[in-house]
Amino acid sequence: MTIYSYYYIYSYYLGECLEKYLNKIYNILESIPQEELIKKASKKLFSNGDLLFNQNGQSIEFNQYNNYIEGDSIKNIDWKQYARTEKLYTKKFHSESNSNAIFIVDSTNSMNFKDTSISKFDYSVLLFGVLSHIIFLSKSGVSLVSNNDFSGFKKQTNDFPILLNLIKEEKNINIIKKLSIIQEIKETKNSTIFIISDFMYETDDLLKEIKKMKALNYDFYFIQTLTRAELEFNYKGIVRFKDMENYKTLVTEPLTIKKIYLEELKRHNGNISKTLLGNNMKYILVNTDEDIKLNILNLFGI
Amino acid sequence: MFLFKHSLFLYSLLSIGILILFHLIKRKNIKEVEFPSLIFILKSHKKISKKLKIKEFILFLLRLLVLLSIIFLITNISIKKKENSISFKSNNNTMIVLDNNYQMLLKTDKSKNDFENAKEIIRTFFQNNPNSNSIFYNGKEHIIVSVSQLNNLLNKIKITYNYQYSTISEFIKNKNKFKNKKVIVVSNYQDTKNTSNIKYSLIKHKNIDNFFIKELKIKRIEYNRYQLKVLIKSSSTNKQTKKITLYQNNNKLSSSIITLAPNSSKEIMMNFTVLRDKKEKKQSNEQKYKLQLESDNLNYDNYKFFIINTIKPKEILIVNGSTSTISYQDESFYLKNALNSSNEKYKFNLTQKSWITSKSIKKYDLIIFLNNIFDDYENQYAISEYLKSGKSVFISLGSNTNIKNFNYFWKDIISLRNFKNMEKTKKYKFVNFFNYDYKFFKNILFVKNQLSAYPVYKYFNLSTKQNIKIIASLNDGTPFIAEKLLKKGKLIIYTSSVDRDWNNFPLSTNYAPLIISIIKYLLEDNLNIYKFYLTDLSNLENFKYDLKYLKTGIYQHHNKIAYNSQLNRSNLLIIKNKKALDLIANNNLLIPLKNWFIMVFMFMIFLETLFFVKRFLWVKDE
Repeated sequence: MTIYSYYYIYSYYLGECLEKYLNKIYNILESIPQEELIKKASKKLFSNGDLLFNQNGQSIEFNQYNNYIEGDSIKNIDWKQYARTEKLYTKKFHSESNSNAIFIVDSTNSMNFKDTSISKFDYSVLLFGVLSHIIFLSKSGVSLVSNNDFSGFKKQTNDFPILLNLIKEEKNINIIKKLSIIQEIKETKNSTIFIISDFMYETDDLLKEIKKMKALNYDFYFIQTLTRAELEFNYKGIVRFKDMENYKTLVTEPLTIKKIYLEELKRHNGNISKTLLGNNMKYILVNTDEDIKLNILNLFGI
Repeated sequence: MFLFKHSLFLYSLLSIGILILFHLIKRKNIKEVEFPSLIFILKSHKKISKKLKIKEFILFLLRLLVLLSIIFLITNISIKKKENSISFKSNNNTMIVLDNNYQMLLKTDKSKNDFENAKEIIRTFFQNNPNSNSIFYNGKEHIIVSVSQLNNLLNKIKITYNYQYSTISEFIKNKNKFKNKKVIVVSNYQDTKNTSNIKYSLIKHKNIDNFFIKELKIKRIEYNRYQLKVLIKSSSTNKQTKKITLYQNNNKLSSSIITLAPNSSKEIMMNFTVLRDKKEKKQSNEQKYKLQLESDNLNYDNYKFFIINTIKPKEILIVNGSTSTISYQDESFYLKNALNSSNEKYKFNLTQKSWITSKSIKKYDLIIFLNNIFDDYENQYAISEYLKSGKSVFISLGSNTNIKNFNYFWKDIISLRNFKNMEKTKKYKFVNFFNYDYKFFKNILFVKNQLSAYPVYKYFNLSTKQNIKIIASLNDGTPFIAEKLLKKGKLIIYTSSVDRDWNNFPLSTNYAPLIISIIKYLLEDNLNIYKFYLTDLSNLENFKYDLKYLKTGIYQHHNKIAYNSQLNRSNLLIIKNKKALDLIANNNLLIPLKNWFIMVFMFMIFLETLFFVKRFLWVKDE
């Protein structure tokens, strides 16, 4: 069953507004080398390499048969099947470890900012969609924290629309609060938490919280989504800026403050990446003006 | 303090209000942009907002200054500088030049003159600034260490009556040595233009208690006789009596006594004759005169000098047509008698026509042809050249004159061919018209009622069609005396004889004034008008030396300052600038600020441009 065929099934369940996401997500998934990404997923997405399919043979629980590919261990060949079908199959087993992915997509007002056709939030949803599909395909669980609720781990691609539905109803809720919800639930332990946000606020508290959770065996992956306007600040003349979070305004000359603004932003981002990388967590800055496919490939180091 | 030439334009200062309003409530084109978070913008803005405000304020100031400078340029602002406004504060390494020209003797109050005041100013300066200051004296810089040294040095500096040896001229000679020095010239009278490192201290004149010659007018009344009109002014508070004396070449000529009430003036007249000094064998005809007024205060203000050139008698050449020797029957007898009765002096030379060559007649101021035949055509060229040189010829006709020869003779010179044959009148005619268009008749009253008593019975009939102007005519309108109008030189034709041969007019009382007027008129252009110079020169001994200087110098000091702009560079700085002199004469010093405001204006424009360019380049870089 091709991935694209899911679309028709899901669209049955979903409303119109989610359809646009699905359509895009499957378009992206179609155009990227999935196999390779799934292989790389453990190394790139999970810092401890703790992903199920990579743990083959380590568990007793039978998972599925795969066609024998040159290079596979002969130890795993199911000879009974071979006798039955005269074809070589390898046995695969589930790992007992529960390395799952929990996604937190920042849904604050600032994420609605867009200087091109796509807002930061939309872009984040697409990233979430593509990544979660890849994780589904690599037989790991994906969950989402939204509206003070933990969705529970979904292990099937069929469950994706449920997650998408949750995002649709996402309200403006603080990330730290979402993290506290995760901590309350036992089964989330040892999971990798993906936080997709612009981080355009003071992140000291957030980083503190994360460090604390890291000690509790949580792992983190930060994806910072910023637009070109934020990254380059190419405004001219005299501008009244309106804060999308608190609706405060400020009149200034962007050209005059540009240099200092860029320095401040660089310092802020540097601070985040330094803290995360220093604590063996992962961080990537994504420019929403760039093609999402390229960003995803970049995410996997391809 | 500030003076405005066109103060009406000061109303334009109101426009500053518009500028301020514009600055305060300017509405810029503000774009509104939603932004995810102001956190970094706010931080950056806080860091730079002070700079922005300062920048705005500087821009406002620039505009204000530009506007102000435009307004002040229009109003032509100038600043009135207080005299004595020299600032002696912390002027270390300053050299003081004390002006010791004689004008420093001018008394500013009853007790002290400017020179003494200047010395006091210098003493105060050294009291306040005891360190490493110096005085310029004798071509050198003398560093002052002690009060006694200062006093000694100041005592050494004495008034000089010769500009060439004054401290200021010495300083100017050596000024290159002191290029990098601060120099203060203490004077009552100077130019501030040339040297940038020199400061001037002006001594203010409050009440000049003085008795002085304010104006001198010289008029020639007659040959070598002159009238002197002297305006004497007293600015003294008391009634004073002074003696005024005129000297010629250091010899006393005349003197008179004058009494003046306080703050009054009086004009006195003195007549004198300019005589050649017999002792002086030189050919120079310059006579040097000095007018001296005794005054208690400033002696050298009360000298006036002038030079008068003695006038040589005019030389007249009479070409006599008759062969007879000089006697009382000489044809020029009446003419000469008439001329000798005038207040001018003439020297007559009689000659024959054969003697005339262009060289021989060159020195004469006038040639008179009396009763000539005009058959010698060799003379034509000489006379033509003589007339072309701007000199005059007087022709009188008579029995010797052949009209054909006459017309032919003058044809080539002046194309004069308008004489008809001699007419013998049956009924005697007489002179009864004088052309008052000629200015020389203005002082003559012709006796009219006796005109017919002096008949003219022979004359040549001159056609009036030609380019002539009648001076006097007979009762029937025919010309008696006429001027042929020439481009150069003057030619007057007397159609009858100047003696009693053909008429009795010489016996008339009108004859002499008519002849004198005409001859004076003919000699007018060649007359050497007397020349004289007025000067402030210190004494007569230096007269010759200073004469060169005089031609390009200052002529009179007090209220009126004469000035010659073609001053040599070698001359003194202090008398170089007319403007400065005028300013001092008006007792204030106005410094036009126009140039300063032009500079400010240009500078501001430059800064504004810089702002703009900087911004423009920045935008381009990014």
